[in-house]
Amino acid sequence: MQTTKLFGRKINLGYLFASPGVLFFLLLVIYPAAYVIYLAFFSSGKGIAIEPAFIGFQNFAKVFQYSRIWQTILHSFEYAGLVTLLNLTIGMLLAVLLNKPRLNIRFIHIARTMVLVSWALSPTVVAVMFKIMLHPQIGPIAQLLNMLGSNVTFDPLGNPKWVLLAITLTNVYMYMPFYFLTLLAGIQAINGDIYEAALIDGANERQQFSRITLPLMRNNLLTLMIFNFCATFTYMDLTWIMTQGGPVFASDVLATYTYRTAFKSYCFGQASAIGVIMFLIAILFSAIVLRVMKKE
Amino acid sequence: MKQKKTCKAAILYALITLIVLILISPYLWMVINTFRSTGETFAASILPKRFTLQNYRNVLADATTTHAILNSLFCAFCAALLTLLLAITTSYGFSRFRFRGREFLMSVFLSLRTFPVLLLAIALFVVVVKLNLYNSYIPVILANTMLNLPFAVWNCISVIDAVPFQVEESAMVDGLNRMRTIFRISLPMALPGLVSTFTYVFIMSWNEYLFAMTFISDNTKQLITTRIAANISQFSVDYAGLLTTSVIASLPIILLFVFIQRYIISGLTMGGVKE
Repeated sequence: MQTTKLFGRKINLGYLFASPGVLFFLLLVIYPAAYVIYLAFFSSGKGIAIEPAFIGFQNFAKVFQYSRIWQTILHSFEYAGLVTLLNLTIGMLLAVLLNKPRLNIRFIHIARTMVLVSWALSPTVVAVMFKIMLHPQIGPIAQLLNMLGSNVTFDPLGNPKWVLLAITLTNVYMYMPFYFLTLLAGIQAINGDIYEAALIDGANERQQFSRITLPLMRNNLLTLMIFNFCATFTYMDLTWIMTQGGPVFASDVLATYTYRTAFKSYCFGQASAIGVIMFLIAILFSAIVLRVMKKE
Repeated sequence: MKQKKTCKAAILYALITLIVLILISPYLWMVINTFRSTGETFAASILPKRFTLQNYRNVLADATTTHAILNSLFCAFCAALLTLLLAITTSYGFSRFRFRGREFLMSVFLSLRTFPVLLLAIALFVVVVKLNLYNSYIPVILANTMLNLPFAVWNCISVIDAVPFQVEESAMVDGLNRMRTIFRISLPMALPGLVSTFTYVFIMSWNEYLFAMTFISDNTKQLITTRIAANISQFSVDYAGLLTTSVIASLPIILLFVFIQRYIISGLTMGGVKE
């Protein structure tokens, strides 16, 4: 029953079952992925009426002629780096706290569910929520400061100094639950006998964490770190809704620059080139970090 | 010794409660403020002085918003259905058969999904416009299916793996053919897992923003996410209305999510962090 006949040839039934999904996925990922690389090398100018003409690395060279390119790249690193650091630290802390077997199980379950809530929110809802909370006039924080008689203008999203941090924290608010949940599942997969043995040997909780949990979770943490960094490096939803990269490009990252070039200036070849560079930077940086971490 | 332990537990309870409160307070703040009358400012008091449903009435009287909700419902439902159909067949193949390239194909779903969605959106936009599909829901539905298929496949593999193969075998020995066995025996047994996969994809498609914004610009065809995002960047914003729309667009989704979260964790941990 494992095989069937197709066009007179014996073929494993598994291929038949798997193929619709696999083909659909490959078509919708490989084809656009290849097309984007093609656009980066073959199309210049505006609009989508693309005349196939090989222009080599012109689009790529243009990216580096952009006067703010280094600032934008730096922002991307700051944004993705800090988001990754915070997501994993807070996620790990919560995972350890909410894995306590000796606390009330109902309490733990409710707390876990509450932590997960922000994950079910749309980026638009999160962006709107924080945009109003941080609003300089109608926002509750600004109004409270006002009532207390402070004359500080509380406007993190309008202040070039704070805007990137504000978006970073919004991102953490939204995506930390995913890292919390994956880390929690990882911790729960650790064999409980190890902790019992450690307890008998007299290890306290801090030692249990640093000698058992952390080393055993190292690979999970590394994988999640690379995943989170690359995902955030190329992520634009929250930034786009909250500031569109402003004020005066203070929160502009490579992802918003790519999107703006594509859908505001309609330079798709140029945008593809920026996007490909963005992707390459993320991958190369991850590979280097992974190598350094693995060596240690 | 015992006293020290209870003291420590109390600190832990307090700490966890504090963290949870901090995490849910922005959302709670938003929900509370939808019941405030328009005259009151957001910081006037913690609870509104006079509870009113006026904001909800206003939002639901606006046909553009209700249309956007219906549009989102349609897109998310279609995407979830298509994803589930593809995921069931594919994961059945991966779960029940051993063939050359099986592991490779399974890993393809994970590794290719890391390609930046933003880049796919650019390429797909050009293709979509050329195919005259701009401002239609087909590309939105297909893109959401693509985004969620990897998770759905991995989740369904663990769901179908949990249905013992012996049950299927004995049904087939009893004379049911494979298709009937799948529909009569395996799928009903896997139903809870399949329903939660469907719900998860529905939630993710409902929340999706980038493709909804890229493929649809027509105001009457807008989805709820793009509708909210478009409203916040308008010149004069009805903030209370915006908060209310956000709550309408998110509260049912949160409840759905709370309901299914337990069932989707296996798929996430397998698909999310596979070494």
